[in-house]
Amino acid sequence: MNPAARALRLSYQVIKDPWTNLKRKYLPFPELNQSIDINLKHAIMWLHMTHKVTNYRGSAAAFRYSKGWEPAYPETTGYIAKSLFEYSDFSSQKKYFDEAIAMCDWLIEIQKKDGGINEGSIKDRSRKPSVIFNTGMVMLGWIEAYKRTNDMKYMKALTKAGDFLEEIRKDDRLWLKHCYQNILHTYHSRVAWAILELHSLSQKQGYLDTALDIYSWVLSQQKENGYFENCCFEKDYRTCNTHGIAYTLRGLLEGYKILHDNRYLESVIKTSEVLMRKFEIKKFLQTSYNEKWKPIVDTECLTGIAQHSFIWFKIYELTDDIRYLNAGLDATDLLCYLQNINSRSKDIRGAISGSHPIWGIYAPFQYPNWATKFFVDALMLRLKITKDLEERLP
Amino acid sequence: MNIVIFSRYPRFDKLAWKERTLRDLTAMGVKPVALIYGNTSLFDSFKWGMKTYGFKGTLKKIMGNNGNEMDIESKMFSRRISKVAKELQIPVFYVRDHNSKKCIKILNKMQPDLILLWGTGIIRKRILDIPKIGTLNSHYAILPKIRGMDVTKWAILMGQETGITIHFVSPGVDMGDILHLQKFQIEKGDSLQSIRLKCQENTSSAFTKVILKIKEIKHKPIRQDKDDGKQYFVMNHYLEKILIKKLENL
Repeated sequence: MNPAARALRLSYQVIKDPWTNLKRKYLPFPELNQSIDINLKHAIMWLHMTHKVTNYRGSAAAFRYSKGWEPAYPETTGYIAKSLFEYSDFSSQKKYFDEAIAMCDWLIEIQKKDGGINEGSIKDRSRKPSVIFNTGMVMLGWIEAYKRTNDMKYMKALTKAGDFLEEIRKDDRLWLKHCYQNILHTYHSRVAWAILELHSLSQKQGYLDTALDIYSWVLSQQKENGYFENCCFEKDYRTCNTHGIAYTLRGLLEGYKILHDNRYLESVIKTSEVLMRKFEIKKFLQTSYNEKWKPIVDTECLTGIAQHSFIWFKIYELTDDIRYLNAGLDATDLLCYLQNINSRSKDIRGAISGSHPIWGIYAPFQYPNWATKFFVDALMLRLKITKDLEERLP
Repeated sequence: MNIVIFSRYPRFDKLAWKERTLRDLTAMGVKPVALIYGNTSLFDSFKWGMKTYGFKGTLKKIMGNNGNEMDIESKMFSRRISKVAKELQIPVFYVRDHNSKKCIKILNKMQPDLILLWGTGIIRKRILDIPKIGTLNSHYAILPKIRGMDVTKWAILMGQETGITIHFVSPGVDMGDILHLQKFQIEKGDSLQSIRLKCQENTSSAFTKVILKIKEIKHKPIRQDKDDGKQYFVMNHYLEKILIKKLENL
């Protein structure tokens, strides 16, 4: 899309989004016109597009109305590769496996000497240091690649990354010096998940100790009402956004699946119960909340909604509590409703915007690749669950 | 015994069970002293109608076509309840909101022993504190297990017992003391609409039974615990389709 086309398209979106919200407020929520598979296909095609625009060297961070395509983003490329592996299994299409492998190979190329992955986009590689979270997220991609290929190059990269994470904890237990913005983040539970997976593959005790220590700190940050302290992205913020909360919960949930420690699942449910209720009452989940769960802004972070819908589906699978299935269905219906699948421009067709309306506080005026990635994860899980449910019907 | 009834959207309020209950209570000698309507503006009614029935459905409801072509609907709906109340010489009041000062003023004048909720929004504690005995609500599922919304649908989908519960209203969602449970069976050929009709018919008879017991001071409220049940929400289209299939395969 050239700048004029982007400006035109943005003007249209600025009018369309409030109109969509009016309809949501005053009309019954419509049934989807198409099957969910179509939404999933469009989302996957858009993720492919993010890879294609970088000449297959990582997934572009986002499509922005202001500048067009962003450079590749190592952190999200790591976990997008994981989704593509899963989609390849789901759809039995090998091309997505190859695409995920290409992403993982590129990530090995850009791994820093210390074993970590730099903060920011690939353009920042030489001037930005390795950070904890980005390293962990890339590990998730390599773990999937190794599990599927047994290729030692992935294990080598993983060990380097795992050793980096373990090493820097020796005089900095909570990784404070290597954190984004030099503040603690509960969403490092996702890094603990990656390290735990690596421990399952390598059996190195140090990895397990690191993961358990991080998990225990994350649990200690949860308040009685389910709110997490230190769950923000930026310095001086005293609010949690739904994206960061979902990161934290997903890390704990995966930790529970590996360790079977009930405290992790209880913690996930405690917070999810609050957000699920909020979403189900209004079919709307605000972007961020203060420690009393009062919303701070009135716009939605679609990335967070996609991530929470995945978590709600998982809770349903683990507990059989059908309210969580309902919430997951409602949330994915909403995202399908807001996904643009009819645009003539391939740059946005199939993508999920950072915020709704488009000018919202989280990732405004753009389509970040991770929003669509989490949407893809949620849709795949939804299709699996509904298929199982239909097979159980008489 | 002074009974005040709360209802809302007077333009849409045509449910037959309400007419029957008004007549039964009058015959029993406990004629309500007032029927107070909330959300009375045309805009409120239109907003609610649009959200519930969509644009075409709302117009149909406003024009008074309640779908007499269907047997169940003709059993479900009668005339405007406000007109029935006037016929029975029950004073009808209109307020914007049941939690408003105007409503409190009416209640203070009426000195109610009981308030019956016949479909309202959330009622605040300052209103719940006014009646001498309490406020009653009919819940379309068996409490305390299933609280919240679309509760009959959830009960059927999860294979739980179906029925209605008359309970006192407390500030928590469907958490007040239980006064009466009335169970009924789902039978072959039942649809969501016919089950709703069963709920309504059971509500009508249950309200009169409970009020009679309260009048004779024979009622025994059962306390419920927060953890005895869960709060459910509006059922997703997909699960509703599964539910309909389940009913068809009974």
